[in-house]
Amino acid sequence: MKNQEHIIKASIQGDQRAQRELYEAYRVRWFMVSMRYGKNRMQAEDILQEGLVNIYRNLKSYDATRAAFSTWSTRVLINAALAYLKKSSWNDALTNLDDLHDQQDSDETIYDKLSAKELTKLIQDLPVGYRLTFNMYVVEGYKHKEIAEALGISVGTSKSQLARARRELRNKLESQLTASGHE
Amino acid sequence: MNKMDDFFRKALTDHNVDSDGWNIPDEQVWLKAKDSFPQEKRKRRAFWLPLFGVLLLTTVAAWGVYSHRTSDSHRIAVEESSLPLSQIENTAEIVSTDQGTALFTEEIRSEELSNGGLAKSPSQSDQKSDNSKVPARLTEEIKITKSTIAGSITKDAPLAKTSQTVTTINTAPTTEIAETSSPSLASGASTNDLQVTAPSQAQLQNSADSTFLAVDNSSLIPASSKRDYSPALSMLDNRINLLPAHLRQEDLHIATIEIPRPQYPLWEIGLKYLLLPISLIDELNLEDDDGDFVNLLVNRSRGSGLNLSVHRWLGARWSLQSGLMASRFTLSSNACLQTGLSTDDLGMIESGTKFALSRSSALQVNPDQVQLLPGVELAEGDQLKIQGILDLSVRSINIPIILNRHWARARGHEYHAGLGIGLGIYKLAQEEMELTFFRESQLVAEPYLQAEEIENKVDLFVFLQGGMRYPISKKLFAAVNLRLLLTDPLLSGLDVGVHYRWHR
Repeated sequence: MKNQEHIIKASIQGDQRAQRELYEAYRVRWFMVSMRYGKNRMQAEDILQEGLVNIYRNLKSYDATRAAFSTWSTRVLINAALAYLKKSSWNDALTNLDDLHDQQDSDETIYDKLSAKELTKLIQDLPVGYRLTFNMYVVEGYKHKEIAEALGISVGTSKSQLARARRELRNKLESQLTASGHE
Repeated sequence: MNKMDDFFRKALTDHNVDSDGWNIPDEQVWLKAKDSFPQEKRKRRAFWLPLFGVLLLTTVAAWGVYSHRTSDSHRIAVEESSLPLSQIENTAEIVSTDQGTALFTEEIRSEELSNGGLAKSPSQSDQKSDNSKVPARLTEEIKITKSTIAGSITKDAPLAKTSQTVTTINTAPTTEIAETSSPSLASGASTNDLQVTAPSQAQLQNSADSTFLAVDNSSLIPASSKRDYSPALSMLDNRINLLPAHLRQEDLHIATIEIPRPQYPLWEIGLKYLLLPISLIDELNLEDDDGDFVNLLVNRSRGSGLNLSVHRWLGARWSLQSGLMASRFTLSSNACLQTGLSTDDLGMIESGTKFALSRSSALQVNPDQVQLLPGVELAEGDQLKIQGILDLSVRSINIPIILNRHWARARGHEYHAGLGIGLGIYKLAQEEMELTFFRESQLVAEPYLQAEEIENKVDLFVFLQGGMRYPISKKLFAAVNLRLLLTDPLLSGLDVGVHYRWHR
């Protein structure tokens, strides 16, 4: 998209209007990513803030021939989220979790009754290790090997974290739907 | 990957704004983050380029004029040749000297700057111009041919020519010199009587017993100092040295120079580039007594224009100026307005009626469209901050009338100062801007989109100006002028350009 290229170029040159335009175009996407990685809105905003700084500072390294800007910027943002959460000592939380088995989905229809906001809230309530693994694997499409490298854990741990995240989410979904009378 | 994963992925990758705005980040996130972004490298605007261009042109022109003058004033060549007497048609041009009899002919090509040329050659010398004054300013070239006459001349031979014109020449710019015609030679005068085709300010005149230099009027300069005045005078001096001894008078007063009368120009036009210093400002803070302030952090700005001026001189020191000033100013800046809320303001915000929140004409807010965030309540005295990116452009055409006082200084420098009024036609355009409202760094309202605004207005203005002119030539001047608009100081500017002058 020529217009976007122009905006990115202008942003690289420090044009504040272009920087703002770029932000307007992607702020929802970026914030939703941040919301999934943060424990709450406040953390999400911190993540977004640090992510924005990294995105705009590294705009020069963006190569439009290798990836879409949305993909590239989301990756930069996720890295910022990981760095942010690392500062919050999430590694400890990752290694102390028990290894649990994956479970099959019990009721597929319940998902349709939840909004993105509610789903995000469910993810936010997950322990940080579960949350990261689930987001990276399920939503962003990372491989377990990539997750393991990014988080500094083993591939097995990544898989177990994902399984626990799924189980937790399923339990939360069921309890939430029960409480709200959906079921 | 299972169905729950698919559901989460689909739901969470839908990046549309939710109806309750939960997925829109707080404005503070952006404001805090953007301070760490790479800042625009302010391009050093080439405002000095036009200035440099004008100075360069001025220098080149001045050099050209100066070198032309200098070389011309020394371009006097004397060629000697042998000439048979039979080829001499006009014996009036024969000069008898101690060194023999010679014939001087000369070609004088001269140009008078103020009236387009004074090309008087001996061939034109028979034109009657008795007592007429032709101002001579600048000699371009003088060529003298000295021919030794091969033959004898009868003393009593009648002279064929009885009158001649002498063209006076002077390189001094302010001196007017007379061109006179000599009286007819008396019939029967001998060739020993002096006849000189004198390319100078003086004329040798035949008389019964003596020769004298006819002087036009009052002011005389001694021959001993004539070299200081003109190459032509020096040349004349050489001629005099060729005269018979009894005819030479070392102390002759040979030239006339009129005292330069006070002169002043008639008309003058100027074309100047206008630079608006406001375009060089990076940040601007305006504050009033109530503590309200407007801060503009300039991202980009540009201000320039053209000033075409016409001057009519009313006397040696006063001139009346008018013309056309066209200027354009563009500004892109981060604007921040802080204002304290009064009770009236509050009521108007909450009721959404006829209130324009901003004290600045650039930040007009329609309260109908300002939506306070849920749970936000404003109180009297709250300091409300409004931020946005302001893109503003102002185009103007001004027609001034200015009375100038002039001071002449050495080497032709002139200074002037003036006071004037004018009529300005302005077009102000402000692009669409998004405004955000904060109270102590907390966002209190939804972003407000202010529509594009275009305003045309006619206004009177009053201003002072001052500057100087530097002469490139007699008629061409380099000029610098500082203009201070008393009614709108931000649009004050500096003019640099050239003026062309018509003299009386």
